[in-house]
Amino acid sequence: MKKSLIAKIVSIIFIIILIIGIACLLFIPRLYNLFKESGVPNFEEQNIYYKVAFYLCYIICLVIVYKLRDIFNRVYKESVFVISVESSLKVISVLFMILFLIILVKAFFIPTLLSFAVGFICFVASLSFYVLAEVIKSAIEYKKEIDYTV
Amino acid sequence: MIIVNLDVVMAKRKMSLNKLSELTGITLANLSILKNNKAKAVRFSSLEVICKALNCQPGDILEYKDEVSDNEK
Repeated sequence: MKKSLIAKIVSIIFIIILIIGIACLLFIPRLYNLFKESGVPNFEEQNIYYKVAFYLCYIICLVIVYKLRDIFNRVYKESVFVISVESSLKVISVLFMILFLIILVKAFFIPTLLSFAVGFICFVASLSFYVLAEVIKSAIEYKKEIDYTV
Repeated sequence: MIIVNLDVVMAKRKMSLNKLSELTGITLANLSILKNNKAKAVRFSSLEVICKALNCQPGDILEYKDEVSDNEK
């Protein structure tokens, strides 16, 4: 399979996820009520902090998908070792950390095993993306040195 | 800092960048980087072919200048 074909397919998948994600933003209360566990109150009955945190997490996830799409496009069209990839990875790392903090606060008030598990995944993802960003940063510096070696 | 005096030696030998590129096999882009003091490193093999083409010593091309004393001036 050609590299460009894979890039196109993944790019289309990212666009579809983004479109569905943005469209679902309008129907979050309905979707929440549809997929919530039994015993959990409806979205309308939740307090304002919970609603704000929920929307914030949702938007952060959408931004992460957007940034991932951006990175993927750059990696396939240009090179991995560019500053924009490094900064995008750092943004994703910060977003995951914000997600982790929101989930941590939520788990403090409503402790569930799932919350802790998702929080842990977000924390690990944040650290992983940060490490990756630092690796790319070092690689950019090495590349610069090699490019300017005669 | 290390200063590359390639342009000075080339002028003395009356050699163009294109001619030097032909003689050494180093690309014009790389020679430009070297000439404009933008190079981060120089391979011995590159230095050797440049010295051979220009009939000079590495010391004629490379020069060390103290950055601190330069700034004080």
